[in-house]
Amino acid sequence: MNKGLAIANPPPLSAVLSQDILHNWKEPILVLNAEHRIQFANQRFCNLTSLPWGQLEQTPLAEICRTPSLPALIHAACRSGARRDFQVKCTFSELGEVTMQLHVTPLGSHHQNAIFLTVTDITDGERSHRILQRKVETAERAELAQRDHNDLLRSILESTGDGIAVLDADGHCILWNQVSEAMLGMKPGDIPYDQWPQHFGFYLPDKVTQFPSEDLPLSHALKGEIADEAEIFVRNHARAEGFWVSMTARPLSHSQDGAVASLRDITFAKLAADALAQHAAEIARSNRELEQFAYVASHDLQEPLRMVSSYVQLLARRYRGKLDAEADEFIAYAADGAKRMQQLINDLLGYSRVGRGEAALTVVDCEALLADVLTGLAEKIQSENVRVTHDPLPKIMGHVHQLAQLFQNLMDNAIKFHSTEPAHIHISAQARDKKWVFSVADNGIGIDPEYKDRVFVIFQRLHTREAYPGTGIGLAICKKIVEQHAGLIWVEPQQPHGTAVNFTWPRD
Amino acid sequence: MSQSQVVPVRILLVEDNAADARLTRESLKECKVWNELFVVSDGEEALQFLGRTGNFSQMLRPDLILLDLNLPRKDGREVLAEIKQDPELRTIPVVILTSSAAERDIAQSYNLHANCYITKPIDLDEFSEVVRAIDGFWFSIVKLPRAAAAHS
Repeated sequence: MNKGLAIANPPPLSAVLSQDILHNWKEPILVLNAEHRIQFANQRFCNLTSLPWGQLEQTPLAEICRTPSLPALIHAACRSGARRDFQVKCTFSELGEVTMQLHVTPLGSHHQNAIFLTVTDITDGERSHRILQRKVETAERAELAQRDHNDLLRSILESTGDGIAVLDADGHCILWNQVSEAMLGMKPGDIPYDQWPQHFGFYLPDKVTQFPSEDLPLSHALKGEIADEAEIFVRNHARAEGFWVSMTARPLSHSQDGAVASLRDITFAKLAADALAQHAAEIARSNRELEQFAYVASHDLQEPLRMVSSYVQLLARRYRGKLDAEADEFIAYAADGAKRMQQLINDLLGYSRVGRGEAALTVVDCEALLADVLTGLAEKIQSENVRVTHDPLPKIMGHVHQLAQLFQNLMDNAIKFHSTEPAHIHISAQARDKKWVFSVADNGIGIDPEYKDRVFVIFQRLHTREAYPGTGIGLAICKKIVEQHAGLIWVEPQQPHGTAVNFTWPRD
Repeated sequence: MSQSQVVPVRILLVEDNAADARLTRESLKECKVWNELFVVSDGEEALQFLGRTGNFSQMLRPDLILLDLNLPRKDGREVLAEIKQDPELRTIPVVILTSSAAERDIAQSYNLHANCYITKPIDLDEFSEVVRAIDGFWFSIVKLPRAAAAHS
């Protein structure tokens, strides 16, 4: 500074410099008075607000920024007397919302409590930060979602009782669950699928022959085919006793992507099915044996019985009246007993013969069949004065001989067990679902509901032989015939009295 | 007919059940035709009788054979087959008299050239009737070749 130079009120250099520096400062700078009116604003601030200095001068900053809370904030910042920073969102007419960092320096009472402010526009920074943050959050969310998805997939994989294995297009296992690992006895990861039978002990149902890898459902699925279930017997070190697996496989959305196989342990089901089949076979065999027994027994019983009855008859023929009256009586009882036993054996033979060596089913016209049966019973029908009526009867599939016996026995009973009223028998057939329901209804003496099941048991009689002759085989034979055709037979009381014997027979 | 009144007709009954044989004998007793009944109890004996070998060397050729099917040792079917394959014996009428009513037995017997097949009736009166019918049919109605002619 040269004091010799006479320049009127020249501003000191420092002031000029600082003015200049302040004006060109790369950040907006402000000086406010105590009322927060703008005393100075540099070019950057004018740029920031897009307002000329003239409009800024003496205007409260809060007005410029359209931020009513600003005075309080500045005031608070000044109170400590030291420099303070805070962020505030301001709204400018041109720029819109801008986030600013204000550095507030109170200049003190000897500068009339003016306030020096530098402003940093952190809008972009904050925006990019927010964008970044949003990106990060999105990424995290995606990762979380992915993790959730994986967890979900894993949970699903592990929650199923089936073994699941996913193979890539090369036939290598890339994903599997614990169940499959337990089934295979090791992690399937490194074993190409075509070596699975060898490595994991896959066998054909004979339990001996190795399962051909080309027949594995996986092989088909990897070729893009939907593979049917294959039953595989698996025996490996993990399950030395062996177990049954049903394998299904599906190609992943595109065949090039690989395939997914599911392995279901069907040992229990298979054992149960085997046991059931065995049980059924045993029952069938036992039934066959029983029938064979009944047949043989009744057949073989005939011989000695024939001797007994023949010789009793011979005795009666040769010695009646030649011994005493008691002898005649005894012989008569013996002859009668032998005859009854003969009848029982005959009936038993007849019963055990039902369905023995029957020919194939044929179409039977029930109308014609009933006509035949009625012709055979014409004499009885006439002597007992029975009225027989019937609805139209269908054609059904069955054995003529058996069906004739069925109708014959039912008609026989209906005639035999008539009441004191004139007998009326009505035969009908109704289509119900896939069945015919036949009914032979009479107005006879009826069957006590208590005995509705017993009447179908072989040799069960509800009346004395003297009142109603017969061994009690008729309805048992009917039941056997009906049941051999998957039908049901039952009795239904009629009003005011009488019995309807109903039975079902398959339609078509 | 006149001949049968002079000499009895000879009937061979092949039956292992003595009671049954006796019943047949009793029934034949009641018949009009004079008959002589020979009873053997198994197939071996039947063939010996017909071949007149062993204990049966003195026996004469029967006029009719009543053959049961179920016999010990050689059974009735084998006996029937051998009789019908033998040119000397095949002309003797063979009546199968059995308790079996099985279709299979009936068919098999006729295939082996049985002359008729009868299931023994259970009832004595019916049985007697059958025996009488056999007797009446084969010895009164039917003309049979004479033994000598049959041999040639």
